[in-house]
Amino acid sequence: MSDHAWVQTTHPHPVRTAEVMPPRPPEATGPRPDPGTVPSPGFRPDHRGERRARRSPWRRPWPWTARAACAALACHLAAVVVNCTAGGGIDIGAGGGFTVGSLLVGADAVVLVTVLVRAERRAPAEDTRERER
Amino acid sequence: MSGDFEPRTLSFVLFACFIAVSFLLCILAATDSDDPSEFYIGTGSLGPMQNGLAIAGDYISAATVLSTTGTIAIAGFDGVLITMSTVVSILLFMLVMAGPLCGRGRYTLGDVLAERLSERPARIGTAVLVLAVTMPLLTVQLNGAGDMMSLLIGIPGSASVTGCTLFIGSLMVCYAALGGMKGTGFIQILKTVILLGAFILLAVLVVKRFDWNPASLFGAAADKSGYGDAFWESGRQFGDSVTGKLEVISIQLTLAVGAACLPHITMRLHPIRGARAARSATTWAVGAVAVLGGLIVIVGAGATAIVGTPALRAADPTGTNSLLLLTRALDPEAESAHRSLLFTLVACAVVITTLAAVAGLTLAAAASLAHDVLAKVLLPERLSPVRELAAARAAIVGVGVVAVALAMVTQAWNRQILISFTFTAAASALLPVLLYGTLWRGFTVTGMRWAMYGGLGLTFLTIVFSPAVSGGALAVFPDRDFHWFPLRNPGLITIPAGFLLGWAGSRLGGRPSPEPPSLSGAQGEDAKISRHGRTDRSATGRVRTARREGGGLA
Repeated sequence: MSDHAWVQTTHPHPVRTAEVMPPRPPEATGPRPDPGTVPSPGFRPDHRGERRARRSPWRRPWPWTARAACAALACHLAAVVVNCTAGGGIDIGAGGGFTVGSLLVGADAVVLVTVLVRAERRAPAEDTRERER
Repeated sequence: MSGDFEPRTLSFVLFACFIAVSFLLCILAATDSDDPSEFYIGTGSLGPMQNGLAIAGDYISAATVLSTTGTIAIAGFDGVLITMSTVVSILLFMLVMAGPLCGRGRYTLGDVLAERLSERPARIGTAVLVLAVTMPLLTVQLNGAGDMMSLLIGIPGSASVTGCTLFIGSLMVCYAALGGMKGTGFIQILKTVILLGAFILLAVLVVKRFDWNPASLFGAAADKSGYGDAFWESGRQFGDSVTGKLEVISIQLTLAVGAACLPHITMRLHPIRGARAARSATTWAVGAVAVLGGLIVIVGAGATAIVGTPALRAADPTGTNSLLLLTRALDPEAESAHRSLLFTLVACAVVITTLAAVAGLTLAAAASLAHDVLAKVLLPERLSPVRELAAARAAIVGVGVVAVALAMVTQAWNRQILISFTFTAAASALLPVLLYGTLWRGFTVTGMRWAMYGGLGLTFLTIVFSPAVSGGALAVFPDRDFHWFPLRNPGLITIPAGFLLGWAGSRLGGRPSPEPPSLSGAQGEDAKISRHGRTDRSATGRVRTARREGGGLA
């Protein structure tokens, strides 16, 4: 019975299957760094000890809070500038109407509320990330 | 205007009750230990809602309440834009700065900057800036509180205003010295609740007068303003000229970026721990300020619609008394019986607002003096916690005495200029340093010096030679004219200049010889910061900091 191939057997060690990767061509791996070379001044170690390229603040991805703040500020200043420069109103008839600036102020308020709601929603994730760091 | 009011027993009783309750709250919340950290960041035990309301309380000053209501009543839509800027400012600030500032065990702005820059110039520069920014605002608030209390108790004359200013100054010192951060935090919460309650009451009474129809309210305001439909368009505050339009843009920019970065507000962020708590506090703070802003718009429009712009202008050309005039007009018994409960409640709310604001400002200024200058620069490692606490309390008394003296000197001044200086200096000098110092790794000490002293000096220079100081009817020196700068609020020029100076100083500044790594002074601070939070600066970090001082990150 034990000669049958489909009989379940217990092995003292788990069977390991290893796939041997074919050797990669030298052009795929790239040249090996020379241990004697000095890193360029543009590279510096980050908090994990890895070396990465130094980028200016404008090239780095901004945190979403900064982007939201810039959007809110830009919207508000646009409302103010349009109010000051245009001054004209949009007449909706029956004695009612809005200035272009008022509409932008409304848009500004919508941006503020959106940012606030988003901040509230993202807080738990940020907290977890910060704790992990 | 002070002579129109009679003494009121009711006012005395209610005012005494307000003061007693707030004082009791302050003493109950006060720290009973000799630990400076408990004194400086004692609000760590507060929840997000309480922290948010305390931040809102610190942010809403009497100047915000009275001036914004007055501007809406006098200038219509320009005032609404100012309210929007106020809300935008706290939202922007909390979004961007809550993360870098909260929960790291720091006490002052000097601690924040000294972590990344050289300690001595960072602390001295911050202390100079904090004093330059807080003292004018403190002076304005004390003046306003003295005026308001004089009206409340019904004793006219400048001697009465001086006495009331002294009384408010003494209370302010007691609140700040006894309560510390936690005690003033509870007072801010109380103030926010009382102020919101008073404005909800006023708004309901105003809208009720117009049959619960906001459209008729705004229509009546336009009719009684003398401008017609143009009242709800921009340009009524400074005119339709190019200078007037630039003035409006300048004020909006200054308020939007500078109103929330004042030191007493940044100090409230230090005790908050974790991003979640910070965001929750943000929601509560912005929500409270936004609700109050909406109520201020209704009340300001109500002042124009019920009292009328000519009467408001006759009482005060800047419109600061609009709130009180509206309150008197809303209470039909106010003129006959001189016992208006509504007036007393609103006046008490304004006085409590001022009192809480000045207590927070005094604490921020004194903390900067005692902690940054005395404990870290003049006597590093030589001041025990008990003595540092005593120094902080002595600094509170010193700041209070100077502020009261300045308030007496500037009693007859147009207060707008001091408010303008505070916000412009904060936006032009403090904000660039704060943003660069926490978010830009290439910021150097040279850049900090250029931004701090350059922004501050430029603000001072442009305001001194502006129409707000000379050459106008409402100027500080109306009989003289030496102004050459066209704008009363120079933020449009000084804010970009402050940021530019910070950047240029960091990029182009010289390379002073790097500080040798020392184990004294900064190391004690490092150990403290490491205990409280995650910031850890070893001796290697110190070397890196010194190198950064020379001209950017290596």
